[in-house]
Amino acid sequence: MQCPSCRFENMPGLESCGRCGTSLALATAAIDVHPPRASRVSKRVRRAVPGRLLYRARDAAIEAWRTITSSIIEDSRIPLPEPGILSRLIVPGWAHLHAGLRVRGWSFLVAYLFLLLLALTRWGTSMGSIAAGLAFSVHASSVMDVLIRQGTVRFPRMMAMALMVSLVLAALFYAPAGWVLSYGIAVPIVYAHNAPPFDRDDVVLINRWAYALTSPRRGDVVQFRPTSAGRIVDPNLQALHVRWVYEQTMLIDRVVGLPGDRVVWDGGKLTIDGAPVAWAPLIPGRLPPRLEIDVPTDCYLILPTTSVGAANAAGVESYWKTAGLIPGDDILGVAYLRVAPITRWWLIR
Amino acid sequence: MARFDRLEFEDESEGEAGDLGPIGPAEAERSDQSGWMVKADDHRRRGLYENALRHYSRALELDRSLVAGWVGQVQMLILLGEYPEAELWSRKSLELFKGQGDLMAGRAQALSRIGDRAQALELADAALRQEGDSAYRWMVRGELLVSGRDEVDRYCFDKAVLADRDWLVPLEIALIYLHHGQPSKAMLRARQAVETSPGSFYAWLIQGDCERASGLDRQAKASYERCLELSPRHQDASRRLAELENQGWSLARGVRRLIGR
Repeated sequence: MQCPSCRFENMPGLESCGRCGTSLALATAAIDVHPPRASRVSKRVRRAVPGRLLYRARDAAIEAWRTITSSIIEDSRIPLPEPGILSRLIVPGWAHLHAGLRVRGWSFLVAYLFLLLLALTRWGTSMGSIAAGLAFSVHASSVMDVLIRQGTVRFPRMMAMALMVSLVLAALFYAPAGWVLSYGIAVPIVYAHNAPPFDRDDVVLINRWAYALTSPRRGDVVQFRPTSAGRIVDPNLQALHVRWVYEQTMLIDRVVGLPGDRVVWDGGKLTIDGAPVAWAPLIPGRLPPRLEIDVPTDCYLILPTTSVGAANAAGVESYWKTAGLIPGDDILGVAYLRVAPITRWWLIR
Repeated sequence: MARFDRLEFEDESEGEAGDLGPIGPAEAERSDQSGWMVKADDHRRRGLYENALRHYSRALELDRSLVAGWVGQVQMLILLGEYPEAELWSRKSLELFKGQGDLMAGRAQALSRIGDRAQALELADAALRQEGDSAYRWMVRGELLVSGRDEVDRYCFDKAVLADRDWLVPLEIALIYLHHGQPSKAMLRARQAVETSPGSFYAWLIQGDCERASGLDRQAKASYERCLELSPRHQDASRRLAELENQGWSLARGVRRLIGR
């Protein structure tokens, strides 16, 4: 096929001329040779709309983005250590010990374990939060110490590294662990005023996931949502902090009877289906001298001796027969540890 | 169809530009493609860009392989201020003539006028790398420097003038400077065009425009008068001359005259 532009004879089947690159479709295809024209309206619109400014803004944005990304990438490029060291960064100090830096390694490890232990044992208190933050810092510092040893780094780059290490550690370990503790197995309840057997500023940990797979058992100390009869909320407290209302709407007491049990409280002794048991509700003194309750099949018997209502209606038998029957869905979790004050730190039994 | 209505050449809608006698390097009454190209070039030299565009189209109807015709169309669209259309047309032309330097330069110029300077620069540089040389490629490169306020634009335009001694080159450089609001530089190029072709009324007209934009009203008046001497029926020149004679004193014009812009 002959090129219409340079007259070069091309092989059949080619789309463009092998010599000058001109489209061979020029010779055969119908090609419109009349250019498109702008209407008067579009000309007016173009005069009114500053299209040039839009392109300038776009170019400026692209340039700024290039500058920012290149500097961030440059500053945050971390020289990673060998895999043996890298995998040991999961425990503070372990990588140092592996590399022969014993003093540093033990320092990081001991400091971390101490702070972690303090954080866990004082979880829910201010001390626990501070200790958890410091443990996180020790971990991040140990990782940074290893990474900085890979090569000389400038201050801005070191800051970027610290930020990235903190983000990675938080995302991989501390944020998931904090979520599991705070919303699952160690939900802290802080008492704002005296509610025997708990005092003001007591911190009790609740395992909300305790009954995810099993059912409540007799003798468990649980957090539960009381029935309307047992829920007496001080209107003065309602206007204050939600935690104060929470104490009145969420109670902690012992599971006395399971669905279908016959529970008898007589003269300070508890029998279930005729068999005596060794434990009692948390404040047995508030119960009437004799009480017989048949637990319905859809409820648990949890006598709310710790509630404000119990203090006021201690001798009224009908109160306990209505306020003590708690549906299974209203049992929220097991109260298992009092972490504050430190002098009364112990398991709740 | 409305588009084909524009191909009625006998009705010289831009005839206001004055005498239609030949000004270009060649006279042609032939109706073949080269004849249309000559006519297009002739109208271009009179500033009749609309007519020139139609003539380029007519030439391409007869021979679609005329690269100069496609380039001319793109240039006319740009001179008519239809930049998006010029960009589209140059892109379509480049599909037919891949790597054609002047078409690339045309697209670069259209993109530059639209505002996409980054892509325009890439294309202009690519156009200069293509085989061959032309004044237009250097003009477009120079325009990109002008739009970027780069002082070395002069060298590109000098290259363009060296590549083609035609008086149209410095004249269109003057138009580029005028477009970018640099009338003093435009005036120098327009004078260059007038010196090369003192018989061209369009060069005198553009020189008058540059002088007027620079605040040199007396010189502008003289240029328009010279334009009218060469083309007595030139309506643009008459109108501008009348405007000059009727206008009063202006502080802005006085300042422009003082600073020489």
